[in-house]
Amino acid sequence: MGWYIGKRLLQMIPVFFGATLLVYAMVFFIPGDPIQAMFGEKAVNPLIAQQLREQFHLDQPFYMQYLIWLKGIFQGDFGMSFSGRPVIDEIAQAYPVTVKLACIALCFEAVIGVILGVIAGLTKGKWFDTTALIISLLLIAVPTFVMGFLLQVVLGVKLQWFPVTVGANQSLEALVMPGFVLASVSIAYVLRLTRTSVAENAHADYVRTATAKGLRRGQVISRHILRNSLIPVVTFLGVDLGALMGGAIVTEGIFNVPGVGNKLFQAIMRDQGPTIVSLVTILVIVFMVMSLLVDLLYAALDPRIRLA
Amino acid sequence: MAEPLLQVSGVEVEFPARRHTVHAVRGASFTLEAGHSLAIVGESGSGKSTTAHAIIDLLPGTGRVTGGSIRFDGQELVGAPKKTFVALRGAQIGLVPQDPMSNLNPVHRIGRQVRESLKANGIDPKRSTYKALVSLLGEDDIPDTPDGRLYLSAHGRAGLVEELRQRETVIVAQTGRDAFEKALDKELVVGFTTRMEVQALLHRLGLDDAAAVAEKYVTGTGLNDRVAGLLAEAGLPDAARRARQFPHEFSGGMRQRALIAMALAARPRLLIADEPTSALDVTVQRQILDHLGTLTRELGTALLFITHDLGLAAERAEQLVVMYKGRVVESGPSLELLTDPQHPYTQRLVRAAPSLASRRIQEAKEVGATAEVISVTGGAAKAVSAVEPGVQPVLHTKDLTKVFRIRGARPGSYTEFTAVDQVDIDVARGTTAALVGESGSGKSTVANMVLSLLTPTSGLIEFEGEDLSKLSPKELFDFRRKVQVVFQDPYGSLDPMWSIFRIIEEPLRTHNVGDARSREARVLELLDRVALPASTMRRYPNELSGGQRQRVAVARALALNPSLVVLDEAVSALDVLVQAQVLELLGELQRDMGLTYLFITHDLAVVRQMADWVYVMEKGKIVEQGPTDDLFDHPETDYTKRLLDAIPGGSLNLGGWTKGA
Repeated sequence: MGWYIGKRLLQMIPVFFGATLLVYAMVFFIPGDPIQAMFGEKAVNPLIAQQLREQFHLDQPFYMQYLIWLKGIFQGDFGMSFSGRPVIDEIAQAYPVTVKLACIALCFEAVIGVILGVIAGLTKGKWFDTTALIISLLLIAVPTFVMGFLLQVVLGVKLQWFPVTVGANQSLEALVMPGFVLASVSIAYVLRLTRTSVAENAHADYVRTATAKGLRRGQVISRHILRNSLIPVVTFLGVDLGALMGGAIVTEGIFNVPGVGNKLFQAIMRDQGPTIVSLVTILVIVFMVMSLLVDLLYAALDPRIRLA
Repeated sequence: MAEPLLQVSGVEVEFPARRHTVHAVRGASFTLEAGHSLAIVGESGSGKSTTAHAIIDLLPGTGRVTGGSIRFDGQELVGAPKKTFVALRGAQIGLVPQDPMSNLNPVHRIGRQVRESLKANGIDPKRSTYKALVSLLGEDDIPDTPDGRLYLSAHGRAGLVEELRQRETVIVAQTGRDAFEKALDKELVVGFTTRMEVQALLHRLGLDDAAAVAEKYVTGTGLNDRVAGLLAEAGLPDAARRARQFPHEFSGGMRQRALIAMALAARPRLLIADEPTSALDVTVQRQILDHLGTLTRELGTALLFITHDLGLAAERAEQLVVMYKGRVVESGPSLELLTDPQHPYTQRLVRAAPSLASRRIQEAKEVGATAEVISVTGGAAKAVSAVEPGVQPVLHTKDLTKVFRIRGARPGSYTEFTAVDQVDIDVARGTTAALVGESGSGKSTVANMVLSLLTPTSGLIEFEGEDLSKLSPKELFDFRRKVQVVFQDPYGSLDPMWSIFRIIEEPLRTHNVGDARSREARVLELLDRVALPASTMRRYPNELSGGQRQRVAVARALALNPSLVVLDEAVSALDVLVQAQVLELLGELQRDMGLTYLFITHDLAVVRQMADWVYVMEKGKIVEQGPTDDLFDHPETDYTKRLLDAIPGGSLNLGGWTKGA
């Protein structure tokens, strides 16, 4: 186990360098002048521009810029954004919101997706199953922004149950609606995955054996069907949480959530190289750690998996 | 005489489907008395398992009983409510399922799964202890636990062992050290040894106060101790530790033992054993069946045995019921039915059963033994090689070895496992050499190396005099043309998306044989050879039966006129009658086309019908070899003897049996 974790952590090193280099290169080759972008349409004093270039090492060649940035990262310095604030501050401000939102979305996925999926799986081919499948198909088919605007209009403006946008008010109540929209597609996937898995396990030989031992139907379902069926679902949820932690550009945009996705979007729009690279780097690390955790969780759930 | 334990009369089972209803069981009737045994015999699809499942309402899918009556202990089960079955299952009727690999829940520990059987049926040894104590205080009666027993707990055992150790000198002086150590080591099994047994043991060890000591230390067990005891009872060594393991850490035989422990945990009055050993090796099969037989006899459990093997059934059950296409075609006492089958189907079954065929050869030889004695003793010395000196064998291996590295927990660490250890085999042209052994003996690894699918660690493989390791890619391609294989599982070895024509034509196309028209003619010819109609060409694997698919696999193997065909358990997955047909076909093809077979199997009964020369493999080594008859008549190693003993039907006395055949 210890060896396994060590091996996985070592594997992160090349991924880290590869990902950061790739992102750095992409940001570097974005057409346009970041200094000009800072000043918008106004003319820039060449002297000040020169000074700024030196301050942000923009006069150095690409590989030097990357190395300087890398050196900063290892000293815990994620650099300054062009607006003059340390990038790390911006991240620290945006991250808690995104984490909160991701957790709310995950709850929606786990609770709604799994419960409906289990019922559908146990009643495969009956009306409930068919209805659940059609609804899940709708959730997958409707684009996120349509769903977002629809809920804003109905639940926010008409019924006034929830705040229409989030903004500075980052209460649980305000995050429920974006959380659901963020989760909607995954709910459908979780539902379908659970349904298939339950329906398959319900006919497994060991389930019949459990019935033959004299267990009641409820005991058979809870002890033998559920545990086995949820292994792939839990894995999916883990990976999905990793993706949710990366923020959601569209959803955060619609509901004006000041999270990581929003920050990243703004940084891209304003050509803020250091912010983009640092944000993406953190997202890469979060994702790698999450996938390691999912693999460990998988081994804990399924005794047949031996990590080596 | 009271009502029989199980009375099945005129039972009909249907599986309604959208287009047409499948009538799986049509009026099945039989009777099983308490404490007796009965076997239902038939090929797959005969309705034997369906009948058994109908008894405990475990019919799969849409299946339901549409007529007749099933009475268990006087209670009508057809149309009974669900809760009747929940109460009956486990407690009154136990089930040992067919496939030990898939019938244990992979995510729960073995112990937990056995414990569930106890709990689900309200058996809590602790509570029963309490009840026993209450009745002890209240009356002088013998404590009445649910099964009338009190078991030794882990705690009680520790105390008892300590007590015995203190009296060691006295006991050793009376009975000797061996008896003392053996008692401590083997005879005090937690959760299994009862107070009565402990008392008897102590008595044997010469203790005057045996009863008092037994009463002091044997006070009943907790659930976990009882679970260990049940597993020990099912023949699982080191049960307490094993109970904490997961199913994947168990071999097939051990899993089946765990399943037997579960089925018998609540001491049911009827045990349904649904092909309990068909997925296991012959030797393991024998051990498990022996054990199951002993257990059910001791516990007085009635046994309903489902099997496709007539020899096995006759040996293990008092009564036989033969089913065919959902109907009971014949029933009666086992031996009677076997020696004098009335129904044509039973007669065919008796003729085809390989275990019985092997028996038949044996008996025929014993009848003519006097005539043969001279030739055996006075004839040439026993042959020592499968190939006559000076003749080039089709296949020759020398010191063939395969070592697998098993990756350890740390990076770079590994252990070595020698799967095949210096194996020398020769296969002469036009003959069948059989490679026999249990699973794990390395026989399939040899086959894979011969097929050049695995690279040997060391040693030589020569095919028609050419060293396989020295072949160029082009020569290897030609080699593959000359060596073909038929695998065990006819469901897995044919691509379900391909038509039969495409499947058989593929090797011809791969090796650029002929044009489209000649290839089609060849496919037709091959289908004819394996006795399939030409119309099969346009069909798909899922439309064919197991036997038909295996014929297709044989046709595909023959397409390129190979010099050697490797038959890797090629008939093991088939029903007896189908198996007999495929074997006959293989024999016919060998005679007509001069084919050479390397036959890999665990089933010695089949070997006797097929092979000219037998190699017996154990743990990667060839332990014995010889001409088939010699080997069967005079096995030299214990291992071979064990394999031979394991052929079902060996203990049957078939004295008057030529009449039936």
